[in-house]
Amino acid sequence: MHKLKFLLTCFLLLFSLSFLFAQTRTIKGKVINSTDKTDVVGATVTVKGKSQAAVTGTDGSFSISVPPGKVTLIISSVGFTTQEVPIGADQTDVTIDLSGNTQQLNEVVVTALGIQKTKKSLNYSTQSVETKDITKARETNVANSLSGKVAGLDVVRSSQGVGSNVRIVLRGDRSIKLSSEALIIIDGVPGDMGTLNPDDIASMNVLKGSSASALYGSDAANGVIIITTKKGFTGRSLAVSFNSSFQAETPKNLRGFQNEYSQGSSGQYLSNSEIAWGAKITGQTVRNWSIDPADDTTTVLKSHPNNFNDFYTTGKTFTNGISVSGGGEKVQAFFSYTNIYGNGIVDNNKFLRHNFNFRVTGNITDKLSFDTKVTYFDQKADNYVRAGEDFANVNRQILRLPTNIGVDYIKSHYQFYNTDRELTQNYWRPGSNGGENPYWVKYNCSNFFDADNVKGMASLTYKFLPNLSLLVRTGLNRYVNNSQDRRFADTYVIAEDGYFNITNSTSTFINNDFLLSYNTRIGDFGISANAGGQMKYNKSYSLSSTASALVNENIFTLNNAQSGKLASTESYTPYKKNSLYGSADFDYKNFLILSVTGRNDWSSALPQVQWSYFFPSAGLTAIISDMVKLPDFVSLLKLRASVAQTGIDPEAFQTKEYYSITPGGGISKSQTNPVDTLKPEITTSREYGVEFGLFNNRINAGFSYYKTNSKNQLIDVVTPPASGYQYKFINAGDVQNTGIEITLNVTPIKTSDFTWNFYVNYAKNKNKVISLLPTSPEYPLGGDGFMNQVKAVVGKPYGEMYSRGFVRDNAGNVVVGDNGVPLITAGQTVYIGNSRPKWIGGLGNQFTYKSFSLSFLISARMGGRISSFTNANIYGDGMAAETLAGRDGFIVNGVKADGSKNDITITAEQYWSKIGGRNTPAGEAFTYDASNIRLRELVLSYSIPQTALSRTRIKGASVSFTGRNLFFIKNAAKGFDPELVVSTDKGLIGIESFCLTFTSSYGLNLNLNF
Amino acid sequence: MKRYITGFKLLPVFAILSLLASCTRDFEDLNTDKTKIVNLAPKQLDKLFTTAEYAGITNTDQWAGGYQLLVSLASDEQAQFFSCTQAAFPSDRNEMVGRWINGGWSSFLQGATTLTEIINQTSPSAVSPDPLREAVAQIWKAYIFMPMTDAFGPIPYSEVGNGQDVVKYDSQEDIYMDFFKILTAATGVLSQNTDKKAFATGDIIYGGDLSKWLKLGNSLRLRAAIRVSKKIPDIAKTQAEAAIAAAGGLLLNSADNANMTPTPPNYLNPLGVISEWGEFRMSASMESIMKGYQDPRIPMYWAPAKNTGAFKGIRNGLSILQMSESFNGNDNNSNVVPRFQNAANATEPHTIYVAAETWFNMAEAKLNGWNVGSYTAKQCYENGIRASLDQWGVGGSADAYVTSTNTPQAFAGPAPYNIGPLSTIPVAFGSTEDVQREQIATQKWLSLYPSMSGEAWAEFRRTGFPKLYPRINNDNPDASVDAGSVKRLIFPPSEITVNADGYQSGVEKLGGPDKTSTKLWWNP
Repeated sequence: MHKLKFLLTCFLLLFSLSFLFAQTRTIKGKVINSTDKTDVVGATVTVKGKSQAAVTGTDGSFSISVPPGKVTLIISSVGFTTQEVPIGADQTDVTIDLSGNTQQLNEVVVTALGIQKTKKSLNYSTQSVETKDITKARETNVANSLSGKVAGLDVVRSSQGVGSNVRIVLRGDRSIKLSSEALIIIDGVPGDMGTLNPDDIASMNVLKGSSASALYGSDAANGVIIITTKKGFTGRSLAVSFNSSFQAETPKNLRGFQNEYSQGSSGQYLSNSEIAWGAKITGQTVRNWSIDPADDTTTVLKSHPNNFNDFYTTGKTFTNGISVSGGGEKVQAFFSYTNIYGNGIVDNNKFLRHNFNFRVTGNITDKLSFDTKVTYFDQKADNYVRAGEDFANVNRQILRLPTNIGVDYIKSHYQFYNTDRELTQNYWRPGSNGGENPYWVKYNCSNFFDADNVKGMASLTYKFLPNLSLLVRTGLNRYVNNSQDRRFADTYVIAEDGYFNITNSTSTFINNDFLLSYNTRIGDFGISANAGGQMKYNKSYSLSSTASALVNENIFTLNNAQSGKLASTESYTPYKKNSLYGSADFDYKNFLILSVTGRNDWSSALPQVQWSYFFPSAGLTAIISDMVKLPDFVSLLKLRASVAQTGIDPEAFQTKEYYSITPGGGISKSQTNPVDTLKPEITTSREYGVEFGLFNNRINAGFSYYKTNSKNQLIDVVTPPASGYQYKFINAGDVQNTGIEITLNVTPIKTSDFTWNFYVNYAKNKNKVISLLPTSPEYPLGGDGFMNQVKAVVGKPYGEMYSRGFVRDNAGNVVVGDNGVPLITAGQTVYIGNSRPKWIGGLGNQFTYKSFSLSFLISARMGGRISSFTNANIYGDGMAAETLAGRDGFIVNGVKADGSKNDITITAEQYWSKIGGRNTPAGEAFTYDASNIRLRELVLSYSIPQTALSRTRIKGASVSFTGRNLFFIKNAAKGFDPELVVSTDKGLIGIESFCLTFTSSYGLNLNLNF
Repeated sequence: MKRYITGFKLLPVFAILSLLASCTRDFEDLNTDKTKIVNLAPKQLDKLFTTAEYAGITNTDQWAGGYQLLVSLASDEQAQFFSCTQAAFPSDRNEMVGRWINGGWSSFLQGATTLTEIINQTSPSAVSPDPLREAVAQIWKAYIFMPMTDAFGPIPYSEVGNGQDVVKYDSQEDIYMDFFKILTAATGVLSQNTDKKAFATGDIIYGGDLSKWLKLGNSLRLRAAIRVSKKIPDIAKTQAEAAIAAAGGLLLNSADNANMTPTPPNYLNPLGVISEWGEFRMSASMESIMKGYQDPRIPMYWAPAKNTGAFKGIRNGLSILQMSESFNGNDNNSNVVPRFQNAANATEPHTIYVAAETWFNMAEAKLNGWNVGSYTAKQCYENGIRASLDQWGVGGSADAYVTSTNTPQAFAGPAPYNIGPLSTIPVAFGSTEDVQREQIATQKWLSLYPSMSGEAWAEFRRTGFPKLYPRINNDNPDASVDAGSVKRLIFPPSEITVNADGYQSGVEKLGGPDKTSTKLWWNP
C-alpha cells in the first residue's frame, strides 16, 4: 500500500512541478448536519476567491490547503444552504454546521456544452441519476442500470452474453432511417456508455427532448445523456478507494419442454430426425443416432428433462477497482483502475476488461486553469453468444434438442475422426441444413473480440474577467476493434470446408471546440450568454476478410484460404462537421427566465447546396413560488415552456451514385438511387412542464408534456427493382411523438435513524406516423427474414409488425383445408401488433436505518407485442410442452372451406408443423403481449460505523448485496424475456429469436476508503 | 495596454472562426467513397457485363440466392427435374411462397438493369456508341428475359431501368415481338463482324467471340418462334425460317454450347452451390424415363444413392411427413453427379444453352411444315440426341440409343408412391406426328438437364410433354396434383406495394387474375 502510494505520488509530482512549490497551510474540518447532527458526506469545500476545493468523506471530514492569512471557506452541498465560514490566520481545524435547505434551490446541473445552470432555471426536463445507484447495481454496461430510473428512457438489450449492445431511446423513436438513440457526452466530448467505468462517474444528467440539446445540433436530436467523471481534489493526503465485487448470473428456463416423446415423426422413432414427433418414450431399445463407428449401435430411449440446466451454467463476474485522488493547490489528480473478468452462462463465453482513467486538473495562473484526461479501455471477449437464426448460435441448437438426446452424451460425442483422419461432426442428421451438434457449435465455432478505446481530453479555461471566460477544448476518441470468427470444417452448410473471418476497424473522432461565456446583472435583469464553435472530424476505417473454405483443416489464417474463397470488404469513411452556436439567458429577478439558442452546422455528408443548416430554440421559465407569496407548504412551483428545432444529417456517401468492385475485380451497379438535393431531417419539439415541491420538498413532483415532429426524414425508399434501383433516398415523412412524463419523489419518513424515500417515474409516449412517402403509405423497417416484417405505416405508430396468420372467414373463424389443417395466409399480411411499449415506468424505494440501507426498484414496460421465432420452431418441431396435447388426434376449432363446422381429426404434428417451423411460420400464433413488470434491482447495503473504524486507517467501509432481474411480477410473453431481442436494430425490435435465456444476478460488493 | 492584451488573447477565437468558414473546402472530396467508381471508363463495361451475365440468370451472390428461389424452388420442381426433400419447403406442393418470388424477382432485375445500363452506354444515342457490344448485350437481353416472361407472363421490359417510381409491365406478346426485333437487328450487326470480339474476357460465356454470339442469337430467335408457334403461327413461321437461314448459322454443334464460367468468389456454379444443401434429389419422372430408356446419360446426370448404389428418384409434392420417410430420404436417392456438387462449383461451367435444343426445335419446325433446309424431322431429332450424348461424353452409345425401343418404366416403391409408366413412346423415332412430337419434347426435356429447367417448364406447358407424374400432394388452391396445373408463378407480392401501378398494368395485360391457374399468352 505504501509503495503504491509512493509511486502514485511520484507520478503526480512528475506530472506537474507546481505541486512541489505549493506554499500552503492545511485546514482540517468536519461538516455536520445542523438538524440531526449526522455527518454530511460529499459536501464541497472551497476557498473563496481561490480554486482550491475539497470534498467531505464518508465521515463528513475534509482537509483543504489554503493560502496563509485569513480566508473564507464556502461549504455547499445538495440539500443544504451554502454557507461561508471565515477562518482565522492561525486556525487549523473547524467544525461546520450546515443547515438544511430543503428547497434545493441551488442545485446545479450540467447542461449542453457543459454549461452549468441551476436546475430550477431550466425550461426543459432533465433528470439526474444518482451515481451511487449506478455503482451499486454493478452492471458492466452502465446503460443497463438506467432502466426504470429515468422517466421516458427506454433500454433494450440484445442477447449476446457479456458485453451486449444496448439501445437507449428517450421519448420514443423519431427517425425512420437514422438513429433514434440518445447522444452520450462524457466530460464535454462525445463518447459511449459501453466503455465507461461505472466507478468513474461523478454525475449523470439526462437532457430529454431537443430543446435541452439544441446546442449540440444534429447529433443530439434524440436527447443527450451528459456524464461528468470524477476529478481529483485538494486534500491532506491521498484518498484511496477500493471496490471489489462478485456477481453470479443464473439462467432461468421460462419455457416448458415436453419430455415424453422422442425424435422422429408420426409416432415413430427416427434416429436421424431433428423433430420430436416420435415414439412415446418407454425405455425401449432403439438404434443410436451416433454416426461415429466406435459408438454403440443401439441405445435405450429415455427423456432428459434437465438438458437446459445441464447445458447452461452460472455466469460469474469479478470486479476489482481502485481509485486514488489527491492534489495540491495548483494541481489535482484522479486515477482509477478497474478490472472485470468473468464468464457468461455458456461457460466458454469469457471476458476480461481493464479500465484506466487518469485526470489532472489545476490552475496555471489565477486566470488560467486546465483540465486533462486520458482513459484507456481494453476488453477481450471470447465466444459471444450469437442470436437469431444463425446456425452457429448455440442457443438455437440446444433449444432444438429432442428430449431423448442427453446433454451429457452429446458433450462427449460431438466429434470423431473419420477413416480419412478428418475431424468429423457427430450429429443425428449429418449434413443438416440448420442443425448442428450444440457442443460442436460451442467448441468448434468460436469467436474472439478485442476492443480498445483511448479517449483523451484537454481543455484550457481563461477568465478574462470574473464574468467573462473562454474555454478551448480538444477531445480525441479512438476505437480499435479486432474480431475473429473461426469455424471448423464439417460445420454443416455454413462452413463445410471451414470458415475464417478477421475484421479490424479503427475509428477516430476528433472534436475541437471553444466556448466564450459571459454573464452580468443590471439591476433586476441578468444576462448569461455563451458563444462557441466546434470542429468535428471523424474517420473510420475497416477491413474484413473472409476465407469461406480452408485448405488445411482447422488452421485459421487467411493464407490457408482455398483458391477463390477469399474475399474482403473495406471502407474508409471520413466525415466533417463544423458548427457555430450561441445561447443567451435573460432573467428578471431570477424568477422569469428567457433562453434562446441558435446553432449552425456545416456537414460534409450533405450535398453542397445543403451543407449549411441552422436550428434555433427558445424557452421560458417562470418560478411562481418566487414571484408571489404561496402557502407555506409550497416550497417550489415552476412553469416552463420551450420550443426547439434540431436536425440530423445523413450518413456519408449518400449523394453520389457508385459502381462497386466485387471480389475478384468484378463491377456491380449501385442499387441505391442517390439524390443530390438531400436535406437534413428536422425535429421540432414543444415542451411544457410544471414542477413543484411541497412540505419543505419532502414531496417533489414534475410533469412534462411534449410533442415532437420529425420531418424531412431521410428515407431510403424501396423502389421497384425494375427501375434500376432497389432503393432511393428521399426527404419525406413526419413522425410525431407526443407524451407525458411524471416524476415523483417522496420522503414520507425522515428521522435521525430512519429514512424512507421513494420515487416513481412514469412515461407514456404516443407515436404516430403522420405522413411517409409520396408513393406509399408504408415503409419497411426490417424483419427477421422468416417470420415477421416490421413497418412504418401512415396513421399508425412506428414499428407495426406483420406476419402470416390463419385464413379466416368473414365471421373470424379459422378456415381449415381439406385435410383439416388450418390454412395459413401466403404472405406476411396479417397485422400482429406494434413492438413499442405504451408506457414505461419505475418505482424505487429506499429505506435507511442507521448504517443499513435497503433499496429496490420495480420497473414496468407495458404494452407492445413481441413475436417468438424460437417458439415457432420448437412448437413446429414438437419440442415444446404445448405440443403434447393432441398427439393422438384432435379437431381444430374452425370451419371448412364450404363454411361447415370442421370435423376432421388431425394430429398435433400436422397442426404445429403447419403453424410453426422455420420457413413459413404463422407469426400470429407466436406473438405475445410484451408487457412485463419485474423486480429489476434490489440493494441491501451496510456501512461500517465510524466508531468501529476510528482506530484504523480506514475512513469508510461498506458492503452491499445486490440482486438484478430477480423475478417477473408479470410477464405475458410465453417462455422468454421480452426485453431481450435479437438485435437492437430498429427493424428487429419485437422479435425474439433463439436469444439467451432470462437470467437473474446476485452480487456482493465491498467498498473501502482510505 | 490592457485592452491590447485582451484583444491579443481573443485572437484564437477569431482564428477558429475564420478556420470554420473556410473548412467546407474539402467537403465534396471527403464525401466521395474512394473504394468505389463514380464514372465507368469504357473498358470497365467489360467487367460490368460479367455481372450482367451472371446476375441475369438470377445469380446475384455467391449463395446463388436468386437461382435457388426462381430455378431450384420453382422451375426445377415444376419441370420435375428434381424433387424437394427439404421439409421446410412447400413449393414442390405447388405452394407460392411470396417472399421467395420477391427475392428471385429482384435478383433477376439487378442483372437486367445492369444490362440496361450497358445497352444505354453503347447504344447509338450514347456518348461513345459501340454497336458490337450493344448487339451482344441485346442478344443477352432476349436470353435472360425469356424465362422471366415465361414464368410470370407480363413483366417490366421496355421500362426496365427507367429510374422512376412506377415501372409498367409489357404484355407477353409485345415482349416476344421485341425479342424478334432485337435478335434480328443484333444478329444482323454481328454477321458483318464475326472475326471481331466484344467484351473480351468480361464475357464469361464466349470470351467475346462474336461468331458464337451470332449462332446463339439465331438459335434464340428459333426458340422464341417455336414458343409462339401455336399462338401466332404465321409470324412464328417467318421468324423461324429467317433464323434458320440467317447468316452465321444456328448453334448446332455441342462445341459451341453456351457455358458460363464461374468467377469465384462472387459467382460460383449455382447448381453446385445449392446442391450442397441436400434439399433435392432426382424426380420419379426422371427415374421412370431415364431408367426405362436405359439412357446412357444416367451415370453422367445422377450419382447412385449413397445407401443403395442404385439410381433412384422421388415423387414430387411430398408432405413434410412423407419427406421424413427413409424411402424418400436423401441417402436412399440420387443426387446430381459430384461435378455439380460443391467440390467443383468454383470451376464447373454452368450450361445455359445446348446445341441439342436447336436440333429439337428444328425437328418441331419441320413437323410444323416450315422450311428447315434439307433436314428431315428424324434427322433433326436424332442429331439432337447425338449432340446431347456427345455433350455428356457418351456419344459412343448414340447409334444404339436412337434406335432403342425401350419405353419409360414403372416407378417402384410402396404406396402411395408406386405408379406405372405414363408413356409408351420409345426412343426410336415414331411413325405418327403425335408420337414424334412427344418424342421430340421428351428428348428436349432430357437434354435441358440440369440447368435449363426454365426452358423445360415452358415447353412442358406448351406441349404437355414429357408426360410427368402427378404430385403426391397439392397445397395450392388454384392448382391440383396434376403436373402442369401450375400455369405460371404469381407476381411478386412486393410489387403490390412497391410498384402498385406497375403491378396493376401487369394484371391487366395478363388477361386473367394473378393466379397460378391463369394461362400465359403463348400457352394454347
